[in-house]
Amino acid sequence: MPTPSRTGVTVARRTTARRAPASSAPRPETFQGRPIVRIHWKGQAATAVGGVNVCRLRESERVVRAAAERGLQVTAGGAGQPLLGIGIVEERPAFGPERGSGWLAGLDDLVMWTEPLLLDHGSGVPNDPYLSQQWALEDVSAESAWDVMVPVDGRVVLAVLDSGLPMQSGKLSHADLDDPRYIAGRDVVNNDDDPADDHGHGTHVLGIAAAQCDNALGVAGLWRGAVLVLKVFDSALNGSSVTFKDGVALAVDFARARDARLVINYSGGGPDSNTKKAAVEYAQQNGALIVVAAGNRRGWDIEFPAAYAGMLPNVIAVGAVDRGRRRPAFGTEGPQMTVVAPGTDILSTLPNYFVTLNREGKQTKYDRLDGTSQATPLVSALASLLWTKHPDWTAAQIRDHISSTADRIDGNRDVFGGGIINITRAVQL
Amino acid sequence: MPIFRGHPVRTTRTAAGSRRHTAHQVVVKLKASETQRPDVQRDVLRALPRSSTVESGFDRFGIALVNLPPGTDTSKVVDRLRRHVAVEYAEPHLLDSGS
Repeated sequence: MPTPSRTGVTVARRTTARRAPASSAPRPETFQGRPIVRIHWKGQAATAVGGVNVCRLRESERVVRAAAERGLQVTAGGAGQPLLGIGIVEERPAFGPERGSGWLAGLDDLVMWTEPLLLDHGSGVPNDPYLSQQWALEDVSAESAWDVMVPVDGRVVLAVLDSGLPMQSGKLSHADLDDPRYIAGRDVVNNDDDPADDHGHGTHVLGIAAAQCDNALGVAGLWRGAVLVLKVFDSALNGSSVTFKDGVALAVDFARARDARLVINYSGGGPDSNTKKAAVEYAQQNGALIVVAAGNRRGWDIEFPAAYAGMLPNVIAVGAVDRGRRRPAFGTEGPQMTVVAPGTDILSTLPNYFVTLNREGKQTKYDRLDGTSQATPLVSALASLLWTKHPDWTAAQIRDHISSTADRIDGNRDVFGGGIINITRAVQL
Repeated sequence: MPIFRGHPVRTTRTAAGSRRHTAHQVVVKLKASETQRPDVQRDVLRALPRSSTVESGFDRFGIALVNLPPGTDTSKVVDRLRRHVAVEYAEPHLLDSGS
């Protein structure tokens, strides 16, 4: 049942009961031509709430006002507005699925759907069919990841700065990455609002961190909360010091406006740059954590911004290991290495349309890739989970906890850092 | 070749091969005390060669990205900008890539 978190936000708790099969699910009804999912409120407490998803973020204030006029209060989200267009409407007066959605009258241009706050029943093991091929999840003891309660208001945001996410005609187009929690941000490469992935790298990274989980489709991601996607790499997977800086600034703006904790995933790197360092310091001043790939060039020093982990406490430099927890054929090294995670033969999402990686022989929708880029989102997802559990921790505390709970790997510390992340240990300690 | 803000950009490599940057673009950052002063911003931009264009103006960081005319020696422009009293740093527009 919904329970208040430490921040006072109502969250959905997973239980040990397996979700009912689809055939026995309640029959959907419609509301003004849009589906309403009627939930079986088994054992529901009197504090039941209703949720409303708003199509356009900037319109959410209208919903807040409409609720207020009807004696209801939208409580979720920071800075006075619901985050991600998802508001939690308190039951005051009584409001539930059986009572209808009369308070929404006149807002049908804004409201996409309504539903009670969902109780996410699961067995602890997602039902995604490719889960058995995601060997990395077992190697990082990910079984506890899906039991972490994720606030529905998105007080923790994972920002993925990469080549974008699957979009066609301005809409999310990949079935395993199609949910209001995926927020399409700016394309800072082409300076527009269409961060469609034209390379495939960003979609792969996004899927590892946060593909839809327990949806009986494709792969399982680790992070079930809000994801802001900003396009900072072009179709050839090139970015720059300036695109990184702009991406960090936008991510900080987004999180700060909503009073959210911010984890930034950057699966890229290059030479040292005053501009990149300024961006990382700006993120530090705003409390954000940056999780960065250490780079793939074996025999080379760790790339920047990952190498700033040696001087700034809000940076995690991530290296990769193979199935045997050995050093793969790729990978930089250096004293700044924080932790490692699996980075070979990693199955994840790819765009459902033709992109650069398809010219290199990769399939559409799902395929395997190697790299420190693939190791990094496992760590950024863990950081997001930890901040959900410990909202009072600083970025440095998150980093240190991830490192101190990792499984040690004998060998060169410049290659393996503090070891391979252990999600269960990190989440449970 | 990378495409940056819609513009096709040539890339170059240093002798070490590790500091790829876009040809004919420089990044310049003002000192914190000068960031919000339009007169200083204009004065710094005057240090650039004729026909230079501003790709993105001075932002919250006091950072601007500038396009130089083809054929310009980028390192000379960077050196000239670094000598300006209001400039914290100037550097080539360095490239990153996905890992």
